[in-house]
Amino acid sequence: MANEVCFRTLSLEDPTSLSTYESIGGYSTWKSIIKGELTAINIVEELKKSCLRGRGGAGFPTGLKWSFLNKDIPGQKYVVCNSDEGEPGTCKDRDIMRYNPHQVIEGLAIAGFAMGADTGYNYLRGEYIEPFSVMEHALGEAYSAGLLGKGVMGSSITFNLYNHLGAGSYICGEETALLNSLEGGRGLPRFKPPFPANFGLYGKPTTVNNTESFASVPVILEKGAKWFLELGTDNSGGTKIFSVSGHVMKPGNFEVGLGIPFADLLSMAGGLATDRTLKAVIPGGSSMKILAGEIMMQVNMDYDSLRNAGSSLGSGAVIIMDDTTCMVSVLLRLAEFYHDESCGQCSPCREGTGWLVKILNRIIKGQGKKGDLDTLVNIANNIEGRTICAFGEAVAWPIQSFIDNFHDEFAFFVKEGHSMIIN
Amino acid sequence: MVKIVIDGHELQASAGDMIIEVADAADIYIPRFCYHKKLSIAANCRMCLVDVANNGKSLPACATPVVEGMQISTKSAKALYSQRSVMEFLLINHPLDCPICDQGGECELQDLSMGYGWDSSKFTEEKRVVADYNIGPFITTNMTRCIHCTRCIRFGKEIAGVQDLGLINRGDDVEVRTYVDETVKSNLSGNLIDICPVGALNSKPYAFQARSWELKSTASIAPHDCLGANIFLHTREQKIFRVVSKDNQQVNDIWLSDRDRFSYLGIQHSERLPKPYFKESNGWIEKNWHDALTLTSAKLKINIDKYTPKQVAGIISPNSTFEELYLFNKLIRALGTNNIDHRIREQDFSDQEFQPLSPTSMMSADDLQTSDGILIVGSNIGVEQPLLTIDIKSAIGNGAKIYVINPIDHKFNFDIAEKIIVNSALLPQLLAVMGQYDGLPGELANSIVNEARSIFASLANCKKVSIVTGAHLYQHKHASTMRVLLIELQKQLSAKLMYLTQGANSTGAWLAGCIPHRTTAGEIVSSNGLSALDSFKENLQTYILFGIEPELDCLYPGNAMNALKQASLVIVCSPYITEQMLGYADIVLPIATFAETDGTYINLFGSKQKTSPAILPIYDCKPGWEVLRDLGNSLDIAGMEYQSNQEVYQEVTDVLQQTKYSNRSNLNKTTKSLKFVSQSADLNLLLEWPENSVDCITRRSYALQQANTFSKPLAYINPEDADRLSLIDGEQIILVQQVCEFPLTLSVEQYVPKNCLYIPLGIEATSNLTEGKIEIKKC
Repeated sequence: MANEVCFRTLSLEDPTSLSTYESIGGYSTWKSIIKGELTAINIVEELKKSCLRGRGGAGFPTGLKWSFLNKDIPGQKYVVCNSDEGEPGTCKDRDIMRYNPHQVIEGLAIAGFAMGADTGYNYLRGEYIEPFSVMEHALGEAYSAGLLGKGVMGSSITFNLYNHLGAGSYICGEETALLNSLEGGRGLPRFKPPFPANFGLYGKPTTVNNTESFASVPVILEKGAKWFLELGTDNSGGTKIFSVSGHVMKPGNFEVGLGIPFADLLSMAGGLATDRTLKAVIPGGSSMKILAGEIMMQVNMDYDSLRNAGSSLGSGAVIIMDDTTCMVSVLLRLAEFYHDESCGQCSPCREGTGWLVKILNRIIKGQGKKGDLDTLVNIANNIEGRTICAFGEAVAWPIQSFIDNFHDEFAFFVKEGHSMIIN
Repeated sequence: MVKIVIDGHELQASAGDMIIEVADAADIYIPRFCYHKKLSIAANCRMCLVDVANNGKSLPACATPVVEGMQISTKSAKALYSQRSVMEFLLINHPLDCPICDQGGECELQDLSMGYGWDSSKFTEEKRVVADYNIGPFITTNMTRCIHCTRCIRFGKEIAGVQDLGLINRGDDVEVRTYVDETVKSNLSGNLIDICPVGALNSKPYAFQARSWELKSTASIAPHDCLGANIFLHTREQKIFRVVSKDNQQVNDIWLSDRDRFSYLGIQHSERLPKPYFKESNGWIEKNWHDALTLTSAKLKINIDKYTPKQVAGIISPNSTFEELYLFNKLIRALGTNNIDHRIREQDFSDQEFQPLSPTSMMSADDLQTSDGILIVGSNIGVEQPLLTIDIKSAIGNGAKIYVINPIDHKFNFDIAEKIIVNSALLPQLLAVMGQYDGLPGELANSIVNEARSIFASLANCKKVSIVTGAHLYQHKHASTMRVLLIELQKQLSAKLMYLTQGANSTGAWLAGCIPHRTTAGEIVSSNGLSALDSFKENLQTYILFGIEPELDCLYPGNAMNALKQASLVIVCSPYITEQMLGYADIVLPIATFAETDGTYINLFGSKQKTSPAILPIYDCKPGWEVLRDLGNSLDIAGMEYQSNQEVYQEVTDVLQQTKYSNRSNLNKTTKSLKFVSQSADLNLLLEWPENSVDCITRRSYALQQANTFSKPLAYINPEDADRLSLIDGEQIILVQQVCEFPLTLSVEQYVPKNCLYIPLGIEATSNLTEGKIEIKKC
């Protein structure tokens, strides 16, 4: 079974329209909230039972996160949807918004009710112009149908939602940088504590969740926590969209139950080209640690299994590399990305990302020196854990895991001045 | 309170304090760059990482609040490794050009790299280079040296109130710079030099002049405004190289205005008067001091005998030291006249009998910071007292609301809750309306009356109100009326009053007796002498000027110039000699500036602050108190035989202690005689001094002049008046008065109220302005 939660309109005609969405039960949860049939406590408890974990990368239990923002705290509060999908390899939120925008809207409205926030923002990455226009159209439909606004359908519930297009910065996917950007400031991550639940958008209590997390909520409440939980594994409830890319015959987004064996996911994506063997996989977006192909073939795709294997589920972007891949070139490409995207705030990350690129570039040009690999790992170690946000780890982990897993290949390049992979 | 342990020391701390604050208080040093006790926390340099028990990661001490039982190690292997690794990152792209960097020797990066750097770096790649740019006359930029701590950016936002600097680009391309090649505009910008921990932002006038360890430091006072910021003059071999701030919580905290920081450039200026000079039939003749004093006293005696003592007037700069003011008072009174004054920028003295002993404010800077309502009346406070705006900003931070009543819409670097801008002629009426005073001409529009009452109501709801008043009030034609009304308002609001007085030592001048109606310690004189303005209007025979350049320092410079030109004897004690001075003076005696002598200044809060000489008086000039003493002795005036300035100070302090005069008079006695003028159809003059041309020293600092505002020969009027008079912006006009006329360029500005002609004083173009009617003529 696939495409049962966020992609449930995908096979229908005109999947983005309000009528299509309503025909499969969409907005029924929101309407029962408006009728007063659901309480905030019910919603949060149901989410906790469903074991829905944050789909943006960190995997924090969504129900628990929502319980931090008490509905009864007086004053302005906000819910913010993080659609700044920038993690290399990840393109799932884009397709949720392109094909099932109303489910994101309903998820945000439910969240607003559950946490007592009358305003929500959906922050889309700058390049998502098409998803933005789909979301805008859907938002217009929802307002016209009276599903959003002040005193929805004559009730005392108010919820206003705004789509906001960012300016194309990876770091704005970090929730506090996103809030700064949304306020009109530079997208610099904030030092935590205080966390957004206490001091968020405009200094008000705020909950930030990933698009896929929000889009999962209406279905969980429609069909029950148990139903959702059973789609996945015990500690990883529900389905997950995996964005499979790289050396596969049919790359794409696949919404499947958590815990699916990697081998099955690989064959859903058409498998490798003939005569190629699996060399390595980054299982959760480029910031996560790379794993060797033979390890991956034994792993199930859920939070705990991947952690035990030494990496992480991350955002669910599965990057497949076959035996024609030069790991030094891949690492340089990744290091260049992080160099470009460092916000420049903390010294270790600002200076370290550039240093890494300079050394890797030198190695690629055949000017590697003895000790370069130790220096690379040392720089990564010195960035890790010494920065305001988790970007430091995102820089460090690929460097550490690439050199750890493929040390011989790196050492060969440094010594011989060219790659050991001959294409 | 919580108990924590830092490096084995058990410490008490308030919950929520940051580790670095607790460590600083206990004298445990944690290295830092971005942390600054006066700025918000950024936690971006990561230099202050420390080892906190049960935490995998090292935590930034500047941003980690203490909790009960916290065990912190700032020097464990883990903490030191974290700090050293951050230092390595900071240094990889730093040019390490310490030998040619002005920050060398007082650089936080240099110092900390000694303590927290590895002996070598693994970095062997090319370093980053960042372009420099011109951000104005005060600050050099060497942005390759920048470590991106963002102190300068936070300073702009949080202290200066003008965000001139910001970040552009990202990652290691990030640059601190102004927005699209703008210059830094804040008049507190020099503090950026102090606050930058590296050599990225340095002093431009000091660039490549000296090394910090060669300089001798002398504590002094910046005598350019009534706050008297505490400074250190840095000198080497009788040359002043720079001025830096001296911490004083009650006065300037750790900050300086640009005026205070860069005025020193005017001290060793080419216009300094080297020796005493005398005008004789065959031109100007140089004299030695002995001859000069003998001749001066002889000429003075002859003139007094010929024209009576009543024809003598002594006018002294309010920037003089307390000792100079006291000796000047003693000298002038001994000549038999009460024509003595320091109030060169006032014109309404009708309440002088009722004034308190001195115009000292009834409050402290702390009172301003803790007010929840502040009313600014007739002051361009950001120009008059740039440093007080920091206190106002901190009051706003605590929730205070600021209200402004001004004759022109001055821009401020803090947020204003409500403001009323009226033509200066209507200011007294506006104050009267606020204080519910009846019997007015009733010329104020109803909307303004309502606004005034609404501001009063808002202030009445505040717990602690401060009223701050400045130059637009004391320069006003009806300043007396306004002072009375302000006292009335102050009583109704139970407020505290702050007078931003003229010069650096108005309080000292009142106490010392440099006013025509009272002598030292407020002792009433038998018959009142003439005020500065009146003595010029009376065209007397003899003038003794001390420390002023009347053409640029007096409210109606034209009146002064006319009087001086017709007088038979004009004695000028001045640090500088100018073309114009040669035209009106007969004797010029060179005196030292504040950097070359010791002396006392009493600031607006009443604190007596002392300077000490940083360099010897240059050329043949003498400290002002010595010149006055020697002149007194050569005139055989009794009791002028002082050995030191300290003796003078002791004597005046003794006299003051014996005073019986109450420090607070009941000004409301004069309520009956309140004067309200009607707004005439003529243009009302509104005069102001450019912020960097307030005295003879600041006018000669080239850097200050480059950054000066309101100093161009322009006349500003409202667009409606321009239309009425068929004038256009940028047009050459001639201002015509009864006895003179002078050309200016017209500037049409919305912020000028109707019927107002707003022009700068303190510049040559307006040095002929006289009291009286003024008309605009087309060229």
